[in-house]
Amino acid sequence: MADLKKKIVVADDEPFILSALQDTLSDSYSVTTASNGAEAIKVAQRVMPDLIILDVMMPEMDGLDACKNLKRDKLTSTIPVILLTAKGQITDIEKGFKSGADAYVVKPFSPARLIEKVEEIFEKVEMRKKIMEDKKKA
Amino acid sequence: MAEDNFPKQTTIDSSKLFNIRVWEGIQYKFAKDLGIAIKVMSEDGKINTEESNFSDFYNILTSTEEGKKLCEINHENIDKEARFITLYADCVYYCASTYFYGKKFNIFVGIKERVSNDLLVKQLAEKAGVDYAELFAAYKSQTVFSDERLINIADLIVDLFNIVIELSVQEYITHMANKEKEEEIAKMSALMEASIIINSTRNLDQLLKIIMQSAEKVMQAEVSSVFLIDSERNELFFEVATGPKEDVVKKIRLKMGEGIAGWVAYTGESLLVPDVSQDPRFARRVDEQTQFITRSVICVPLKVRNQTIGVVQVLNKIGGGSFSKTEIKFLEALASQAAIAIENANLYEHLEERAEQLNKDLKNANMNLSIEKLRIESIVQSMEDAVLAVNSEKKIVKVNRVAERIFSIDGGRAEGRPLEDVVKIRDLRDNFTTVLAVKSITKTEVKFQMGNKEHIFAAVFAPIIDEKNEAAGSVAVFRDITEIKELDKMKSEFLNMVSHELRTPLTPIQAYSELMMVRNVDNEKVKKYADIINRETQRLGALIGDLLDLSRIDAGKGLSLALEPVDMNELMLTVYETFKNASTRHKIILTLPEKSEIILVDKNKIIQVMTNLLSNALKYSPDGGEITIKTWFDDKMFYGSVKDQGLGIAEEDLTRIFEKFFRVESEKVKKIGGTGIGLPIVKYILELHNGSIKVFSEFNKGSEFVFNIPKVKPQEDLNG
Repeated sequence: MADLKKKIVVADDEPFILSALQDTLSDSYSVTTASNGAEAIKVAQRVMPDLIILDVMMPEMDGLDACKNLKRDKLTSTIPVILLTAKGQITDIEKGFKSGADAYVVKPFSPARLIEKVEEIFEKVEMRKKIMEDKKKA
Repeated sequence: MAEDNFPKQTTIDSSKLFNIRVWEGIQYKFAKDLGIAIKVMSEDGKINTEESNFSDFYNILTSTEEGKKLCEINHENIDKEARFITLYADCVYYCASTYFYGKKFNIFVGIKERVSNDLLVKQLAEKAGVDYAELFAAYKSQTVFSDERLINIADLIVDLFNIVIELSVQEYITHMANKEKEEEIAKMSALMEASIIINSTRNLDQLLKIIMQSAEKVMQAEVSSVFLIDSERNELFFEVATGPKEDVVKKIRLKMGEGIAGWVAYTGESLLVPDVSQDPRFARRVDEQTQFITRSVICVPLKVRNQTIGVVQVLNKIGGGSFSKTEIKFLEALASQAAIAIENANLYEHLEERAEQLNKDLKNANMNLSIEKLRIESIVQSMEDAVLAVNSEKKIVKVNRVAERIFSIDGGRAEGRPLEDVVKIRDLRDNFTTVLAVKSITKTEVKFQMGNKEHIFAAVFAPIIDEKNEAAGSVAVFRDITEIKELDKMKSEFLNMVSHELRTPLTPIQAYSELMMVRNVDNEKVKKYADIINRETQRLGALIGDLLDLSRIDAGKGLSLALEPVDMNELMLTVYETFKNASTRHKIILTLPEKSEIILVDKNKIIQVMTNLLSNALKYSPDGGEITIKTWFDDKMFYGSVKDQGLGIAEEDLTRIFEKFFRVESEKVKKIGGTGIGLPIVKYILELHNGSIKVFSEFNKGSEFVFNIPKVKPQEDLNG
């Protein structure tokens, strides 16, 4: 029933952070990794995940640009994005939201809190789906 | 006219005032027209009028023995009315005397009637053939000029003489009276002159001198002087002295009460001393010092508002004699004028002193003001901040050097020009107007293009408030804060990077430690997680170590080396072990010399160097590739090289990468974390080992860092 698992793409240039994300999420979700923004977009387009987690500071293409690109692309625009950032500053968080991200998680993160955040987003998506369906029925 | 001066009879010297010219005229007429010779002799012999005819007469008279006898006149015996009438041939000799103002005059009258007849008698005697002597004797016996007639003529002559002498006296009296009047006029005019001088000159010395000279002239005095009282020392000093000894005199000071001047100063009373040798108050000291002989003195006090401030004295009447009492009054009048002069002069001196002081103060103030102005001007000109001031009409009144540069203007031409000519940015111009209107300060930031670089300036606008508390204009100061801004940016970037760099290893540490605690993970995973935690903790430790080293270097404390013998191949293997699995995308290749060497280094510091170089190699080759570590030795050195196939470094940045906090300004690099402190520390550590580091790089191809450390064998000292 591997297919039932929700798919998440995680991108970070730090191998150990990437592995930590993978190890945190892989029990409940199907996790695909990428080491920069550009790679993340390619993977997302291929995998069509339910959620994308992007580190902000990455070589090649950073998380903010990747997020913007994903949201601009019709194919991926509805996929929720969590930005992962080492910067806790408000201006950076604001930047994150401007880029269209749905949530942010500050590094270093607690795996439990990350999972909570992920589940929260999935719930929101579910609710939205229901509302849409209800509207259709009505 | 002063009655005192009217000539008294007893004092008249009639022989002096006798108008001899008139009398000699009369004598001449008598002799020439009437053949009467006259001679007048005063008994003191001072007057002796002898007409030439009388001399002829006298010669004839004295040519005979009898005549000689007649001429031996004993004047003592000539009484007033006594007359001798002697007839000798045709000569009549008459002698009379008269008294006038107590003086006896003897008048001799001789008539030589028949001198021509004498010749006629001779001729007649020759023609008639008679004896001349007989004929002459007969002729001589004849009375040709009666006694009576002769006496009448002589009386007439005596009367005439009396008239002449009386007229002379009258003339003298009139003359003396006129002279009095003239003197009075001279004194009056001297006083007038003095008062005019007082009002015309403020030079006290000159003024007193002029007054004293006129006193001398009028009073016929030899010298004069003005003393003033030095009340502090209770002495008198010469304020003015005329005469050739002026310089000597002026050095002399008299005690109060000393000498005539001292006495007058002390008593305040005028004094006339006709003969100083008879006056015990006279101080000889002054004469001795000046070698002047004082005979007579008039000395009067100089009084200002009833206070004696000095004395005026006049010495020695020219031609002898004494001063008169009337001259005291004159001198007193002159002294009161002099006193006014002194008072005026003091007053003016005070005023002048005050005016001079005020003038000086003003000059000083002006000078200080201009010095101050210059100082402010030079301060404003040398300021590194730009200053631009405008008046209330928004015309430029002040531009300094820096302002000229940022507004691209020439100072000489900018002043007086309207603001909009110089300041093109409208917002800036508005600030000048705003602060002028609201009388408060405004701050802003403004960018100016200077050369090919954009500079940021902090601008402060302030109103210029004048002494009436009104805004007279506004002034702006612009400070170039480009560098501060850059530093500020560097600082916040550095803090961000440090924060990022610290959080990066912390993230796996926190995640894995939590996973280990919360989840039931198998042993294999525990080992993997613990390994990651360990690695990331080391990374964190290295980073914190770098930061601490940097702060030590920054604080000037430097780093100290803990040297120990280290096998360099072993050290490199340890480093390699740490890094070989750090990245899946990179292949780390280690090339070591076959034979290792043991040299003295700080092991941990060299690991720090290698860690930094390898971390950079990994970081700045994000697409992966080979990373080659190579070491080798020569006779003197140990060499190490770390080479990557990454982004490379642009040529312009090569020299800067060892600078503290420097990070290459490129989008690619920015997305790669880094604090900009790794390479400066690497360089510092190598230099501490007396080594060095070089970088070889090609943009987009990769970089190679090559360093060397002198081989110091364990027995040797590092510096030896």
